[in-house]
Amino acid sequence: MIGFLYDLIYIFPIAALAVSVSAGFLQLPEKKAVYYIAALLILACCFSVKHIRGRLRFLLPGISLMLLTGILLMQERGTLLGFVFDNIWCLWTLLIVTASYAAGRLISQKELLKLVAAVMITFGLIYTMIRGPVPDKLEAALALMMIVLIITDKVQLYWKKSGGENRRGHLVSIAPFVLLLTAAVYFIPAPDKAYDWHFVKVIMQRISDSIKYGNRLLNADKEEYAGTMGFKDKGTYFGNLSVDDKCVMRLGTSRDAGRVVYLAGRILDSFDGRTWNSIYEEENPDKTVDSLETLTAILTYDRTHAIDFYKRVQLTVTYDEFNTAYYFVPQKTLGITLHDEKEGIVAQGGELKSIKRLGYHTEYDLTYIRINSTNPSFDVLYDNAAAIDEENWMNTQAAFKNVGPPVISYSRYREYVKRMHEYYLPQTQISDRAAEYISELSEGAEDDMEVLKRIEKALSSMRYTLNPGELPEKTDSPAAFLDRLLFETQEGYCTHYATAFVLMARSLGYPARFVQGFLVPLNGRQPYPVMSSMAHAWPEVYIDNVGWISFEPTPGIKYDLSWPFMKRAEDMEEGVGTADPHANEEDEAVILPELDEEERLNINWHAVILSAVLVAVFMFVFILTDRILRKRRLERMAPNEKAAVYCRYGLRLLSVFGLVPARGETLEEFGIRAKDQLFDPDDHEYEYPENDADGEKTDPAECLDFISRYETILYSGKTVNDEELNGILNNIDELFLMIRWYKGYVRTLFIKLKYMI
Amino acid sequence: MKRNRLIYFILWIFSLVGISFYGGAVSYGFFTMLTILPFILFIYLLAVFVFFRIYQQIDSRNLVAGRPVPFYFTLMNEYHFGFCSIKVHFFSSYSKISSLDDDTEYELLPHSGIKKDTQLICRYRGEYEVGIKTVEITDFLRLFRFRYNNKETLRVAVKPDLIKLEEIKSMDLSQTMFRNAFVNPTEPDIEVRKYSDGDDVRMINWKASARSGELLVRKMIAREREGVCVINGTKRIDGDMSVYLPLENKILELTIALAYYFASENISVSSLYLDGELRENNVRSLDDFDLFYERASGMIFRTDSDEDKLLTLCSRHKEVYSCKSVFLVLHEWSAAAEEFVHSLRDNNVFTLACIIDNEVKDHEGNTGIPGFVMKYIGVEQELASAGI
Repeated sequence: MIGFLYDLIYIFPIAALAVSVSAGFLQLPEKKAVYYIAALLILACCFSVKHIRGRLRFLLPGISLMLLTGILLMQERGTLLGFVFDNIWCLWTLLIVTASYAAGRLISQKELLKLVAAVMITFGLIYTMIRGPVPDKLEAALALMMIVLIITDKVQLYWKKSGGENRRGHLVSIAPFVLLLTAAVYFIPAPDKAYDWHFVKVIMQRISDSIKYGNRLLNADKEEYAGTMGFKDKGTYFGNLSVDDKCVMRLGTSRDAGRVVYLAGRILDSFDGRTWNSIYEEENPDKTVDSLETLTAILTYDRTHAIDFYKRVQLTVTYDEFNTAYYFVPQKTLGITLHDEKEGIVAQGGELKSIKRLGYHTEYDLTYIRINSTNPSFDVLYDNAAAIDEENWMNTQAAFKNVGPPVISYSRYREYVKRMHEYYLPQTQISDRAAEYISELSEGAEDDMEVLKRIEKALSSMRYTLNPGELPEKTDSPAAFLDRLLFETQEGYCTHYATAFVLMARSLGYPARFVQGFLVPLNGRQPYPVMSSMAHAWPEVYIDNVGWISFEPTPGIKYDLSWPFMKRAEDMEEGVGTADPHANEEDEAVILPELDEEERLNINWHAVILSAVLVAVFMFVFILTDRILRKRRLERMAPNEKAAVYCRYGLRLLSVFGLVPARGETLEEFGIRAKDQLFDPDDHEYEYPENDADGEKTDPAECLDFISRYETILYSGKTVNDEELNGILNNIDELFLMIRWYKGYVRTLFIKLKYMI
Repeated sequence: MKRNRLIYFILWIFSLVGISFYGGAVSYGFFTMLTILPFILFIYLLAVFVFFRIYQQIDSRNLVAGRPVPFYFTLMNEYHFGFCSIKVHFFSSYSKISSLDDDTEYELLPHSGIKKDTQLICRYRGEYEVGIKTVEITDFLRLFRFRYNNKETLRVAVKPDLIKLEEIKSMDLSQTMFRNAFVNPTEPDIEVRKYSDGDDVRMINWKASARSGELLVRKMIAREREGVCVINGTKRIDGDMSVYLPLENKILELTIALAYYFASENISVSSLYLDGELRENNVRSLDDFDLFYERASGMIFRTDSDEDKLLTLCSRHKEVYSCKSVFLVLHEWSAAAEEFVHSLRDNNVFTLACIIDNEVKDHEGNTGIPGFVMKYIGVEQELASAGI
């Protein structure tokens, strides 16, 4: 048994591997299960021939042959050859399985071949992994199983131990653990793509962010801090900025996003000459109201050609090397959806903030309105924007109900307008010289927008530098700051120019605010990286009945964000009326094809029945022939030889009761032990007949007399006579009676077949 | 094992590299196999731990120090899979298993066992554990090893060895000893009288009776309490078994050896020791030596059995001074001992003090007291070579 299992452990994976690999090359039938069953049957036949003793070894091959014969006989004469050629895979399978069996058997016997096999399998796996074709999971699992088995076997070979030095038995006994390992390899998923080590990247990023955050905490608010380019929570001026370029975010956009996008994060309203701060920190949905106001202005002005004034864009923002509490969104954001709801959104002071610290892998989607503000034709909106009434206000919300937040009442809108004036138009003192300067710029301007654009142009004509130097101590008021920039240095970076613009706009009576965020060019492939060097500051001005409009006074930064007006609005529906252009799409029903009734089952029952009959006939003939041959062989034996055969048979029958001669135990000792165990007068269940046929009292233990007779046969050389032979046969019969009593009729029959003489 | 672990670790790193660059069943399968492998091996070791059985047996639970006794143990695998490596480690501090190496690894196939017949030798007197101490199991790939304590150890009570001294070199036996006349029943020149009903048959002087033709018994004369006194300390000097076991063993060994020597010379021995109070254990001859031996073996050593206290009590024990010789078996020499010796010498009692020490000292202790000899004996020193 150990030998059989040992061979099975080596041969089965090899055969399975060969069968699995060859399945890709052979023209297999539609139902591949037939192929695997045939392979299994052939393998079983090989094992049967090798490992079963006597004529029984040919039983299974004979049955298989009868099955095949039955199938062949069912074919029509003319089509027989065609049938064979159509099923040539059978012959290939026979060849492959038999060769696999032979190879496996050789490998299990020869140590060198085991090593060769392990090396070949290893190189084979490496080659297929690199060059392809990649084997499937079963093949990989079987191949790895072979390697583990060979390694285990080799480890045992060179391991000096005391005790049971049965290497085969050992490998067989620990095979279940190897099978468990193989099962794990098979069942655990194996993606086709290489592992991206996402969790490691997350961990590394978190560690990196934590270190950088800690570093920022340690180094924040130091006067001598040189400063790096990047988003800052505070509007602080640094004398010299260095570049610390890292990817803070990635953007994915829908079409119509344009060439750049301004992402606003921090909105500041109060400037003391050196630092921007925020006084306004009430919780209000200002961004949404602003977006709706602008949309209302556009729709009210020219609903038909609204597409000339705005486009709706989807944006997906994913944070990378970033650590902040702010959401960065375009100016006219309608709705935002977080991927992790736990991060939460608070609309406060015109900004969108999280209740938690945001960082790596924060992700959110949003819809925003991109307005055509840099198109000169857009200016007509500023000049002709009518006061927004309640009806228009509510109509705009109805048009965008699928995108925007819950409805905002008109009264809340009016409160919002008041707030914008209150917080973003504080009393702003500038010097006379600055006032004169602004007055000169404004001279001849036809409207407010032209004035603001002139200011923008004037500032953008100055010099851009990252090293404008520290603000002198005397610069301690907005007026002083403005004078220094306009008349002394005329240089700075975005923060300087944004501040100057806000101050100048406020001095003219326009509510204005300082915005910090990122200016992101949308070029190249998505997702677009947002680098820390893209941090930017810009001003926004509130135009009554229009909303907040951005300006770009920083020198060297000028993007044309406009698109041309369309004279005829072909696709006006987009953005007007329904908010969701796909709202009317219907899902297509998926219709599964019905199986053809006839294709479901196709079994040739005639072939099955014929095969079954042939198998039955074969088995009957086989067993009958075997019995006859055995009987004839027995009859030709010499009496002693015959008696010995029967005695050995009797000993095999005793093994049914667990009685097997121990090593070193004599037959006499075994007989005594058997008698004690089987016929303990105090503990037996068997009801043996107390009197025999002659009426004499029987000793039940007499059925074991054959043991002593066997001893005599083996050692005395005395010839057995007929009476003694009959005595042995009677003992056998009595043993069978006992077996039948204990084990039942069916089991006894099975035992008779198993231990057939 | 280290080599196997190194190879495994390198392969695991390779598997990480594999999955980092290539997808598919091979790379992930290899990685999975190497990552899951320790867990499978752990399950295997756990199963071995649960189903491995040890059966130990020694012929007797009462052993004698230094004498080998048959010891059998069986390592049994009671489950359906093989145990590829079992190593057993024995208690070795106070006992030894002969002809067995701790480094032997055993392999057990399913439902099989290994029986070993060997011998156990306990080094010291006392009560302690012997046999298999720990079991070490290794997995079938020699990657991991797990060692655990044997749950069912053997605890034995070991008696001190009986050492038969050939001579006491430090003193002249014939000059200081008085033989017990009772055990020399056939000398003719003993005072005798006629036998009366009820006389002890052992008192019959057969020679005299044969000469005279009638039964004659020896006359009982007043018993003079002489002989030898052995005073041994019973103080437990340390809580560490490795310290007190050898010492106590040697003290008792010497006490018993001295008692046996004198008993074999038919000289009565009185053994005094402290066990809460001063106790006495007497032996007159080899006939009653077994009882003496059992009592001496069962002496209890305690931390409060101070040797100075023992000697003080002995100094008040009058019978001590009637002995011809006193043997002190102590673990340290103190002022109280010196004073006691002086008092013995004042009473003309020969004294031999044996100080049992961890270190063997070559010289005799010389205190300058006439009729007094001091010997230092190491705890591991053979008594025969101690030069007593």
